[in-house]
Amino acid sequence: MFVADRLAKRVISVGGIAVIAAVMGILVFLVAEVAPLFLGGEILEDSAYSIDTADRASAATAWDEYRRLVTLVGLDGTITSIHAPSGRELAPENFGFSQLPSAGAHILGGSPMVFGFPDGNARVVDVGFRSEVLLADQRPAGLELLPDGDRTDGAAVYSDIPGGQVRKVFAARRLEEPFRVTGGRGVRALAMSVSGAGQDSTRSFLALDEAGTLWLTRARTKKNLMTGALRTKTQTVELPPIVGLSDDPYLLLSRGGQNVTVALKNGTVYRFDASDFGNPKLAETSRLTAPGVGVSALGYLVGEQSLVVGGTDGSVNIHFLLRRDGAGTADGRRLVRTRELEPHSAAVTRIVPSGIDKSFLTADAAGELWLRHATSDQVLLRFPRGGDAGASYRYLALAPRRDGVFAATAEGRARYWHISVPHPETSWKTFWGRIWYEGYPEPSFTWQSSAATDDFEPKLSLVPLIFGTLKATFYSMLFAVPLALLAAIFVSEFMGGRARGVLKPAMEMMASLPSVVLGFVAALVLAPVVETWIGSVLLAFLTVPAMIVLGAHLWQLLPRNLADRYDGTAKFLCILAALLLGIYLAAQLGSGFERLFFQGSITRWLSGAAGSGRPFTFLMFLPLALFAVLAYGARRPVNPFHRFSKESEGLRAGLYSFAGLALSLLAAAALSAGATELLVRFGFDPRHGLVGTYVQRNTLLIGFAMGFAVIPIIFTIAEDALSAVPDHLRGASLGCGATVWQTTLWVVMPAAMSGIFSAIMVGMGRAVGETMIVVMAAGNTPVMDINVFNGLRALSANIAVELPEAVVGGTLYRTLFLSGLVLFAVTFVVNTVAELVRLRYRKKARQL
Amino acid sequence: MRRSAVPKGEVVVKRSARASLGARGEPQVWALGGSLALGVLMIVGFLALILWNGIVTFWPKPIEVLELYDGTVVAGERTRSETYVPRPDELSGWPEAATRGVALAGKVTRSLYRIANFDLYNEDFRWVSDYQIREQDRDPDFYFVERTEWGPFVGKVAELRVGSRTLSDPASIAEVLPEELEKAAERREALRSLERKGIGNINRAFENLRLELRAVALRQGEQSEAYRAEERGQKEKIAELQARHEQLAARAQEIRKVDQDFELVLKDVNGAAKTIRLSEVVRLYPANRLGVLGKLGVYLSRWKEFLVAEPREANTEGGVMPAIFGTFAMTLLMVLFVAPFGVLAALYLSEYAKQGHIVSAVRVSVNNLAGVPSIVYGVFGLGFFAYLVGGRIDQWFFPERLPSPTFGTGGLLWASLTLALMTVPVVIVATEEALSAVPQSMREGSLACGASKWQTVRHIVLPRALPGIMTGLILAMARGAGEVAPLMLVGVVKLAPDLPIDGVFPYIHLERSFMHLGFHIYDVGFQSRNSEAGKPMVFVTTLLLIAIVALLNAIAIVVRNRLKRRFATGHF
Repeated sequence: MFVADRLAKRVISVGGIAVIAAVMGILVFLVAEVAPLFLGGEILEDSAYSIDTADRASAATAWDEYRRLVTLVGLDGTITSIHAPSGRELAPENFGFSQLPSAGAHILGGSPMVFGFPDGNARVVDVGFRSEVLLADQRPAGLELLPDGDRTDGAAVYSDIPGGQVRKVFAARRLEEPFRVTGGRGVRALAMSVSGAGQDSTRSFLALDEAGTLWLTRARTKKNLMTGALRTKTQTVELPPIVGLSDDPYLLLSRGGQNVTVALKNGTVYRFDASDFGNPKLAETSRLTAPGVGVSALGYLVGEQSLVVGGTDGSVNIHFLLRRDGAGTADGRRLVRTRELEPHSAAVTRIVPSGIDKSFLTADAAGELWLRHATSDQVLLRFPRGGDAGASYRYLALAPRRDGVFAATAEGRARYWHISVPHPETSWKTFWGRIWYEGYPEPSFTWQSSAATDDFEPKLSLVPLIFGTLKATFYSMLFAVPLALLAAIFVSEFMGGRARGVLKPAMEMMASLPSVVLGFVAALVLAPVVETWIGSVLLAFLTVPAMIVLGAHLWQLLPRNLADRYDGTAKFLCILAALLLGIYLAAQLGSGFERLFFQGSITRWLSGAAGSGRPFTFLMFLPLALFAVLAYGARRPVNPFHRFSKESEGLRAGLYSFAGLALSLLAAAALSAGATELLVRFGFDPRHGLVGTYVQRNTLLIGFAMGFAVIPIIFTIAEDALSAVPDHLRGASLGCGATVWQTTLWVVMPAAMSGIFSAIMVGMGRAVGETMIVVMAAGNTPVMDINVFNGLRALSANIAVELPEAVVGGTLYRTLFLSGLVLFAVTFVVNTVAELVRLRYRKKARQL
Repeated sequence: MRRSAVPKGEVVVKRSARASLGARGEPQVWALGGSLALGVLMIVGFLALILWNGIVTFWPKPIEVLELYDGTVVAGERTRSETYVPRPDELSGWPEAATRGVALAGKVTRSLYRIANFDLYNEDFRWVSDYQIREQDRDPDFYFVERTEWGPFVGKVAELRVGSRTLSDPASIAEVLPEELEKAAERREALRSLERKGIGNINRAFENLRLELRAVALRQGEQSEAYRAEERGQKEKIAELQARHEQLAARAQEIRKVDQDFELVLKDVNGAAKTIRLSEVVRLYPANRLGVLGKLGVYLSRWKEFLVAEPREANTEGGVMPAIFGTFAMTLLMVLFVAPFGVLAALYLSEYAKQGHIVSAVRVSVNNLAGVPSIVYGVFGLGFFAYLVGGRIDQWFFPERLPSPTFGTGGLLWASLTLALMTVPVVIVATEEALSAVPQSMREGSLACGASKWQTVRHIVLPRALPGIMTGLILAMARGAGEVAPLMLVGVVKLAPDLPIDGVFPYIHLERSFMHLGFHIYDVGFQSRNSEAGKPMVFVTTLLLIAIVALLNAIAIVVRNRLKRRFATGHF
């Protein structure tokens, strides 16, 4: 027996602790999945070596996808390929131009690039890479083994890859025929852009000639439908002249060549609008930097919408070209500074954008090199300077997959870093703050995780989703809390034990109703009905309470002995009848209501097509006004009829009470009308805020459906709390002469308050996390709009919709885990508060 | 009860002495009662809606043949009616009376007719306004034909081809049809079992051979002796399988060939003919000629199909047997996990752990975990079970199947583990409550008699706490059976042809994804081609799901009462 006992204790303890730990482990796991979002990057490999061809002026630096080969192209046409991890230089090459180029330019990533020549011609050059996967036995023999396990034959690099295969990476050169880019004078500076690919591509070139004239060239390649041959048509126009282009300016060209940006070293920028190619215009002249600060580096980020400006003072700013009212420019658009990033301490010398997202490298004159991200406004990595502090980098390249950096100084000291930056686009601010995304007129909270286009930037603000969750919770609680609490009070204080015995288990069973059922009914059955009968639905909010109050006042007219005799099931049936009458009236009068107040159709009125905001404002304020009148009347007996009613008895009291109600209503109507008049004078229209265009799956519907889901929960817990109030309190109160209502209001309710609060909190916790109802009936549009008749997207629904498609370990995946964590935290806090209040209440209740 | 504790007469006396109308608070009481009435009304209305729609869905409706003013003729089942405001351009083809009626009322009643014949019309349903109808009758010759493809067909049976014979007179068709339909159904079944079981098994065998070979390649390399031996060994098996495959395919071809000779020529209301094979017909009845008994027959046969057959037509028709199976399998598996662990944890917390601040903090946390949204558990289940644990299992035990995941994706095991994790706090709380309801005196008595702690727990405490524990477990089952959101992430799919339990070794396939009634509702209602066509299915599925959940709840209540009575005698 002793053994069994010890064993049982051991098993139960270990098992119990393990289960509890496992459940708690959820939190740990979620945090671990989310944490990488907020970490910057790390350097996995760092090697330093020297190269001896670095002293030439750089034209372009290209890098292959697998971080094997870096190609440095000098302005003299020489090509040096280096095995990036080890620094081994491969056989040098040369384009062998007949004349030395006078200018060079490249697109993002380094290839293709273009050389400009003193005779006014330009030649496009491809300095890209090819890769092949070979079987292990296809690898040629006698290769030189490099320090990191790669092999080379002097021209290509062979690396082992998983599956017993070998990848061969080699540089591929292609030199195209020369074409003219200026009027004939020599090319002093160039810019290039490419849009489209292959059969239908457009290359644009911007050239500055020796006389300071700017030329825009467009080369269109089209496939001949008959012969299948590619034909290129080249056109060149002269841009309007700018004075003072003596100093070497920065030239930038957007995709398709529609926006031409020329920035001087002193910070002045000229922007040409070349959307009409034959007739380019100078659209805007402004400054990119603060007065007295020059521009020392300039570049587009991928997508060519963000212009990064590096200043001589070390500042790094982002500019967007945005349409602005009163821009004062020829095309109505203006360069707007949208972001000021963390500055360098010395002048920025180079900006190298990444080809896959909005990250970019910045280097300064002091030799600092940072990897940063524009949208998330953070410095992801600061590269160590090592021995060659102080010298700035001449050759700089970011690997195509943003997983490596190559940098070399003019003295030939080169560094290679293999880096890992899994989630550069996220930071605390991108989740919670307003972010100014490309193409947006202003900073905004936006959730848009995917789109059809390639250079799309995911917008992952959780704010619209949290807003959606709160909106759904608010409206469902607005519907459920009063209904559930009042019903619970009625059941516990005004109904017999038998009715309780039926209602309680029924409600408990409703609490375990699958929410998918509620969502289905709300979205497919209720939504069309509510849309058709929207007038009646809104009217019911007036007629149902009105009928209940009317019924109560009629009941007061009953002689006391009758009223007491039928106080019970009969009265409840009367209440039910009054309720049904209210619903019937609303259904019957719905269309008349719409015609009277909303020009015949509420949905049309809501979309702002007809009518004024006056009737709705009046109706909206009416209950508030009535509440205010009654509250004021309760403090100060201003309503004479209420006073009379108090002082008289029987039928007369009832009649006075009736008259008092009528007077209060009149007063409320007057008050509401006055308030409406005042507000409308000031241009208030409810359609711009609280209500607006009607969408079929909307928040009102969610309020109903989710309210329906939480009513049983709130009801059961609140009812438990109420019936836990000891009977001797009630007895004492009734014995002192208080009525049942007075006892309920002043004795039972205060005693049960904490339990009721706990009920509301638990209901709220359920509403916050409810998923299927919002997935099905909320429309799932992530908008931040307080309009009751618009849809929403809740955090939980967003997870359910997007997680199955998210790439494991990707940014979206982790962001959805973050939303899960937020939900976890919110509900945990809400429930803890509820639980603590309940425990305190239980202690207090024991003392009663 | 508590109100009647105070004699009524006394209260009345008090009232007449002082209580004014305001003190009675009649309007307030009415507001309380009104809230309850509204709540009850909503619940009753909701249940009535589900019950009514769920029950009448399968009842065969008559086929209305409508001749409209614009000359078109429409035939179909009337599904529902509503009032709406017509667009001005709609009114053009309508008679004079309609225009006046619309002007007067502003709204018009219209009905939705299920005109079926999707292959001919490209739509299943059509709205017809009351004013559009010139004439309406119920032609007794119209048949409602449920097919395996393209949804139902509404029309007349024009011809029946049986082998070389062609019957075209209605009387002889009616005579031969039932028998032939039965035979056709047999052929369909035979073909299906040949394809699914016979050929499916051979394909699975092929796949297993390929995986075995790959496993050897991964373990010993492709150049190894073992690999060559395996390859040689398989050659024979492959040849044998191929022979069997050909044999089965030939048999299937044979059946198909026979099947081709049995055809039904249907004509829609406009006379457009449609020839279908007899084996494509699932059910066929002359809707307007059926008596009550005939209708009942169709009704029951539809229910039977719903409960035991597999879905067809993108889940909008047929049965939900795999979903019922999946729901039950998942819930049972979940209970297998949750019951021992939940009870263990609760026993530890209330009987073995040293009571103090830490334990009460743990208790509060566990309590709160019951309120954490189910979708969070789904997120955890996907990330931890499916991707992390499942991914590891795949690497260790099923490397030959990679990159296609075995356990590294959602499946039955992960789904039930996730739900077990979700419901374990519920069970812990319920069990703890039940344990703490056992009087301390009984424990003390047992210990005083010399029993050890475990003996006390085993023989005194647990039996008395059993009703509470069972109730907690069944409530957890009810919650698990109705939960959908986390399952969408960890293994529920819209169509899983293979059940998680079947006759293929190892018989229980925990890694397979499965179907679930709750997800079926979501999928058919929201993801299908035509939500209108799926609506009846959704209602019936909803009814079934609610019935299951209600049944579990009811069982919980009964069990609680039963066991309570059995153990109630022990109280001091």
